[in-house]
Amino acid sequence: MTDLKDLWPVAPLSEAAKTRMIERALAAPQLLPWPHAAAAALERALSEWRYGMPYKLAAACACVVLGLGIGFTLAPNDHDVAGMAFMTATLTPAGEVSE
Amino acid sequence: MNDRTEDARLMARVASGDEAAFVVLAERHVGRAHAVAARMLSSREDAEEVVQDALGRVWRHAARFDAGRSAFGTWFYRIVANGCLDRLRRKGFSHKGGMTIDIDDAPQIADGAATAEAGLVAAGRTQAVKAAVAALPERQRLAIVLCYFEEMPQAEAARVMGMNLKAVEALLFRARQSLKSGLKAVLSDD
Repeated sequence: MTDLKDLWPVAPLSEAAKTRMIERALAAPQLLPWPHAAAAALERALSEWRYGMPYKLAAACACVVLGLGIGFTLAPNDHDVAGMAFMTATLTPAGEVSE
Repeated sequence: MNDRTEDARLMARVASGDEAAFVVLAERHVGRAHAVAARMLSSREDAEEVVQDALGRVWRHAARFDAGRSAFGTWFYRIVANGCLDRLRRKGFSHKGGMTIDIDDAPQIADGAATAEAGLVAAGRTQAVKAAVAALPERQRLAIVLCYFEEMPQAEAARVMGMNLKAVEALLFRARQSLKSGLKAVLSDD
């Protein structure tokens, strides 16, 4: 059965074809594993201000929304006791005693 | 340094973007890969496209290759084999009929009546072998091409095909039976 190879010879690939195939393969950029790709993208984003502008704007908006939201939520909720007493006294008709 | 170690060393360089290492690695394997694809697809053009695509994948995904899990050859020939199977399924052709002889693959016919006749006989045999191999189911064809035409050890062929050794042996047994009946006339001339 091993003489099948002799019964069906395949012409070797020409050098020109090999070179062409290799050059075409090299024309595409290499894909990096995601941690490397993410690190490269981050490095570029920090060095080129225009790179990834939609993402930068979205991140800035997210920061603003989060900052305002957290700011309002955590702001101390002070009650102006003197003010409230003044308003109560002003709005209460004379003779009535507010509780 | 053996081939596997050398391939692994070259792939490590390719993964770091070394084009020269990729050229050396491709030169080492592209001829055999093309022969596998040409016999699987019975077409030099389709074979070139499949190998071209496989080389592109090797370059683009070089960082994914793990030398600890498999040899480069196994990984590369698996990409080529899968490319051939995909192409066969996509095109839906099996070349059971209407086989053509590629002019580059036809045996050379020298001047002189006797040699011309011998050349024609040889061309007829080539045609018969191509037709018999092309008539095999895809997996049997791949097993025959890897083990008999490329003389790859069965264990290595099993790894390329993503099957266990027993399954490949069974495929080869069935393929041999089919080829024996298909090539009875050709082999009886010897």
